[in-house]
Amino acid sequence: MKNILEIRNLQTEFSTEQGAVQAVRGVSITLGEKEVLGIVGESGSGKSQTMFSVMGLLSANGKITSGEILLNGEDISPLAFTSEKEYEKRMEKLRGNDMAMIFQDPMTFLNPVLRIDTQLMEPILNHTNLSKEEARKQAIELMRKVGIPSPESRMKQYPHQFSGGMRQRIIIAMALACNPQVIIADEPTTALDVTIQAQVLDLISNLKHEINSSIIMITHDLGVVASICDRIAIMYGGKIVEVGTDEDIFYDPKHPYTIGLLSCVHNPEEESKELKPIPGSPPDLLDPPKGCPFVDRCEKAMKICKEQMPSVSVFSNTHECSCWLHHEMALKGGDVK
Amino acid sequence: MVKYIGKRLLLGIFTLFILATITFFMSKAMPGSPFAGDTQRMSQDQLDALNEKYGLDRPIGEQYVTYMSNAIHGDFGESLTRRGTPVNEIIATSMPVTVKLGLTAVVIALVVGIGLGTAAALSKHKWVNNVVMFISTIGVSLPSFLFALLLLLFVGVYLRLLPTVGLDTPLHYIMPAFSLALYPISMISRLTRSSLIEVMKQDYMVLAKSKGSSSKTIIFKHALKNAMLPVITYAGPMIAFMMTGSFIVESLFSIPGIGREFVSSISTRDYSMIMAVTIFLGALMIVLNILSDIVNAFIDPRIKLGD
Repeated sequence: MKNILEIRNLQTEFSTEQGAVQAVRGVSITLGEKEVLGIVGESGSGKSQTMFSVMGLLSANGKITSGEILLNGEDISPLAFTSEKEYEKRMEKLRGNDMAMIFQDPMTFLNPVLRIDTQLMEPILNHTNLSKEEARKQAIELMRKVGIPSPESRMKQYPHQFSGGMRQRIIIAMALACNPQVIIADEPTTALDVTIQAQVLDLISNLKHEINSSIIMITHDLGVVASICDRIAIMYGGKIVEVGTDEDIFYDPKHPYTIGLLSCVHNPEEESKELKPIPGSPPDLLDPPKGCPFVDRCEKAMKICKEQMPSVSVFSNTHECSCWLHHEMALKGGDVK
Repeated sequence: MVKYIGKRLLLGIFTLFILATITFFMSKAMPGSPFAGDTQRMSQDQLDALNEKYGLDRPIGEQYVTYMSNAIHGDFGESLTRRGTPVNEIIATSMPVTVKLGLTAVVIALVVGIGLGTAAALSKHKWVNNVVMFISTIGVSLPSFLFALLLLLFVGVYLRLLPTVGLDTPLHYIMPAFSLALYPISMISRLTRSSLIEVMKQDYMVLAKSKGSSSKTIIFKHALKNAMLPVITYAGPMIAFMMTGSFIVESLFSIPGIGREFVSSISTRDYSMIMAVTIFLGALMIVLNILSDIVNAFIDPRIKLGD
């Protein structure tokens, strides 16, 4: 499978008054053609910031400090450009055209004083030579595609005249506008009501078959990824701790954090099972631990876990995990020193 | 919308009625007479004749009824100090002068204020922000008469760059308009700056950027319209205020505007002038306020007129 997007050892920092927050600490991941990749993690695990780094949408105090971001083999990390101006010039061409993003909160991501048609036609007018009339036709088509009834009249309305679910559909339509190669969906259902969540998820999984884009789905909800994703990456403390296909992750989880996450999900097949929360809280990324970030909450933590970051153990050509428990020394039964 | 405007206009007429009533009795309560300056030259008989001619010898209630019924028919009487000249005529000659000067000042205040505020909010150089904040602090704290005097002294008298008296050429407008605009410039630049900084942090700015829009489009299409909402709320009454003239600026620059007429009519007890100018400026205020509400609703689609 051809890689559309490849992130190599990405590190992103945010400067704050307390010091540099290392939000993303060496993330490497690939995204194949037409693949749907889920990135799962709790708040502050760096999953969104990894993708904001890719899109070049970090807030002003955020900075990529090292790594490569290859889109079709071209490095689009700001570090690969001679100046910020050059970088922005290139990214303006890519954003919305080759990569698009669906955002978390439909109530705040639409501009309240601009009409829907203005906002929806914007990516089309930015990236094609279509006239306004042609762009309008295409925008109406997009609204129909995402299931907004009577698009012709609704185009002329403002965001506050739409419900949350409808607004999220509009944001999805914007992302689809130029048939991007990569669509990054940043917790697209988190801010919605449960019933609307299901509708929006249905929409995304239907669209997945209709369009040619690869999709990255950021979420903290394993249920969401289970229904849509081909491959899943679990993030914790700014690092990817486990990657695998949906089968690898759900039926053969390796990392204690993944196992912990799965026991927090209600499984309808095992009725009596109690949900088990993971005790403790995630590490402070102002001063990240030098060993495994999960060590303080891990039931199986060993001495070495605190001191050294585990290397990657490969289980199959799809399944990888970073945990000392799967180090060959630990597997032999000896304590890893 | 039409219903809303109609309702506001009716309310406005009621407000004007109250305003006229209060002003009528308060001006009569002031000691003195419009003819006080003439007492040396006139005999008691002549003064009585004048008082009788203008109805000032009647009981105050009767004067009020007569005045109001004339006013409703558009007759605001003659000036009591410039006898023979209807007050409507005085307003008609002095008002355009004030409006021209006021509009110039409004344009200056909006252009300079929004420009400075935008520069302060978006510039990558910290000194730009510091300079704008310094100017706006001075502008808020410096009274306009002092600023006007300083301008007159340095630009008009010492440097002889600009004319100091009247409004004959466009150059004449510069100093009085800036004197009027200084305070609004400061307020508008502060408002623009803080609201633009706030807007730039909003989520919809990130979405706009994610669509591949240039930073120019993002600022002018997405940010400024949102950032202008508080500025417009402020600008409505500000424009009304500037249109009603400034006694200080008009006096200092010898401009025959309505602000100067108004204040001098009070000191000479020119009752009919006081009344007419009050009603006229009150009506102007009301209309401008309705207009600014309409503009507000036009810019912010979330505002529904009539709620």
